[in-house]
Amino acid sequence: MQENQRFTWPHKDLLDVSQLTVEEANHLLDTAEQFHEINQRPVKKVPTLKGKSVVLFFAEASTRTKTSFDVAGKRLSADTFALTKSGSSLTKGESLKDTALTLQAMNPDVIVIRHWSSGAAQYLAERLDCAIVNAGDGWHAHPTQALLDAFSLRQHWGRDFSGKTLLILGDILHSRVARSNVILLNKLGAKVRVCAPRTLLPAGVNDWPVTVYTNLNEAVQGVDAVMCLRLQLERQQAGLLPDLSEYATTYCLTARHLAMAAPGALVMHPGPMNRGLEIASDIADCAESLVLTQVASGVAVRMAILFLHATRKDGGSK
Amino acid sequence: MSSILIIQNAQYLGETVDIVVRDGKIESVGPKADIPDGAEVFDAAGLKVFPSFIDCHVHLREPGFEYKEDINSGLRCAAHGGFGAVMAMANTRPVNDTASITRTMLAKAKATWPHGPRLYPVGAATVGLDGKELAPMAELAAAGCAAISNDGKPVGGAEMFRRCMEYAHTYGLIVIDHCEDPTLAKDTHMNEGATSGRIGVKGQSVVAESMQAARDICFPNISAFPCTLRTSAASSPWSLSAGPKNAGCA
Repeated sequence: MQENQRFTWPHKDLLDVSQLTVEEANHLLDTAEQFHEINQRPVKKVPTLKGKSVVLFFAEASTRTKTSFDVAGKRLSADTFALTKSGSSLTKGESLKDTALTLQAMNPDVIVIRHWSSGAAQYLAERLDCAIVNAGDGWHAHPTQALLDAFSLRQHWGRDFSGKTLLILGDILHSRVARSNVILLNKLGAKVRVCAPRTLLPAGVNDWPVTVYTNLNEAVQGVDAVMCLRLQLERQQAGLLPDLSEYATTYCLTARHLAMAAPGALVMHPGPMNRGLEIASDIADCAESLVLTQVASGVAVRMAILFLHATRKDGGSK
Repeated sequence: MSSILIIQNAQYLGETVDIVVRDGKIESVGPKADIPDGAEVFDAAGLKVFPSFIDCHVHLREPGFEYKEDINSGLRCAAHGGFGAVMAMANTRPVNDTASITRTMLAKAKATWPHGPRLYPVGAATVGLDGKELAPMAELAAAGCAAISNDGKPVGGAEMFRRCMEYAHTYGLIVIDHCEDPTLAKDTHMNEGATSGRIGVKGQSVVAESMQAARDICFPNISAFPCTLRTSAASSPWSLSAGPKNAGCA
C-alpha cells in the first residue's frame, strides 16, 4: 500500500459520491484495484485492518450489500459486527439517535448504515466521531453501489469515461442507485441518459445532468452501456403502473433493444433481478453482462472504502 | 388612586410617541406627554410599539394532550410574543365538537389568564374531525366558537365541505380550511420540486393545495375563509378571484 502514504483521505464519512472530487474518486478506485488483486489470490486475507471494528447496521433488508461489506471487512482482518432491524432495539421503539450513541459507546472505527430514511447516514455522521459509510439511505444515495459500478465499467472503459454514454433504465424515482450513479458517472466524464415512464421519474429530473427519455427504443440508440434498475413490485399496487406485463412490454431490456445500442454495449443490474420484468433473462446472462462482475467489484470497492476510512487517523497505512 | 404608566419615545406608525396608560387602559398616544407624580416611566427609545396581534391558528392541546401544551402555557406564550388573542384548533382529545368542550376550554382560559390573552376556540367542522357528519355548529357558536375547521384532517369530500360552508354561514361562523387534498398529500414530507427529487424524499404536489383552495372558493355564499398553512403562489389567483371580502390567508 505504498501508494496510499502519499494521499491522506480527507473525509471522515462516505455519505454520497457528491462529496468526492474526481481525484478522490479515482484514488478510491485505484485503491480498490489493489484489493481486487488480493481477492484473486488463493489466500484472500491480509492483516491491514487487524484490530479495527466495523459495525454493519442494516435497518432495512439487505443480503448482498451486507454480505459484501462483511466479506470486505473480514478479508482485511477487521472484526465485523452485524446489527439488523429485527435484532436491534429499533423494533423496540428506540430512536435512531439512541441506537447510534449505543453503537458509538462500543467504540467502532466504522459504522456502515443502511436505512429506509433519506438522510439517515448524514444524521449519524453529524453526531458520531467514528466514520459513517452510507450503504443506502431511502431513495437518496447509494455511494458504494455507484463506486462499484464505476469500478466494473473501468475494467472495460479505462479510467476516463469521456465519450461513453450510459443509459439508466427503470424506476429512477425511487432509486438511490440511480441518483448516486448520475452524479459519479458525470464526474468521470460519461454522458448519462435515464428512461422510465413519467410516473417513475423524479420531480426536477429535467434539470439533472442527464437526457430524459420515456421511450426505450429511442433511449437505447447508440449507448455504450445500459444499467437496469430493479422494479419494486409494490409500485404497481401504489398506482404508478397499470400492470407489470405492460411494464415488461415497454421497459424490459431485450436483445432487440441491445441491437440498437453501440456494438458490444455492456449490461448492468444492481440486483436482485426480476428476470423478464426489467431485464430479459438471456440478456442478464449474456457475454456483455457485468452483473456478476459488479458483485466481485463490490467486495474490492468496499475493502478500499473500509481501508481509507478506518486508517485515515493512523498517520498513513502500515 | 389610579396607576399611570408612561411609555416614552416609542416608535409607532413611523412617529415617535409617548403612550399614557391609566389603570391598564391606553388613555392617549401622542407627542410628549406630561409625567404626573407617581407615574411609572418606561423609556422605549429605539423600540417599536404595535397593537397586540391575533394568531388565528394555534394548538393549545387541552384537553387531552397536556403533556405537549396546555391552555395556561399556550396563553402565556401568546402574551410573551405580543399576541392578545388566539384561535385554538379542535384536534384535542376529546375533539372540540360539542359545547361542553368549548365551555371547558373557555373556563380554563378565564381562570388562568383572566385579563387575556383571549381565547377563541375553533370548533370541529365535522363530528370527531372524521369528515362524515356535520358538527353541531349552532351549539358550538352559542358556546363561544368563533370559527370551525377540520384543520389537519381536511374535509376531502367536496359535497361534505360544501355543506360545512353552507351550514356554518347560517351561524356566522368563519370556515378555516387546511387546503391540502388528502390523496395528493398522502405520505409526503416536503414540497415537490427539484430538491425533493434530488434528495429522494416524497414531495407533495403544489396542486394538493391550489386545487382545494380553488374548490373552496368556487362555492357560492361563503362567509369568509382564511386558507390555513398556505405555501403556494399557485393558490393566489384563486384567492384573488374570490375577492377581498370572501377569502383571506393565514
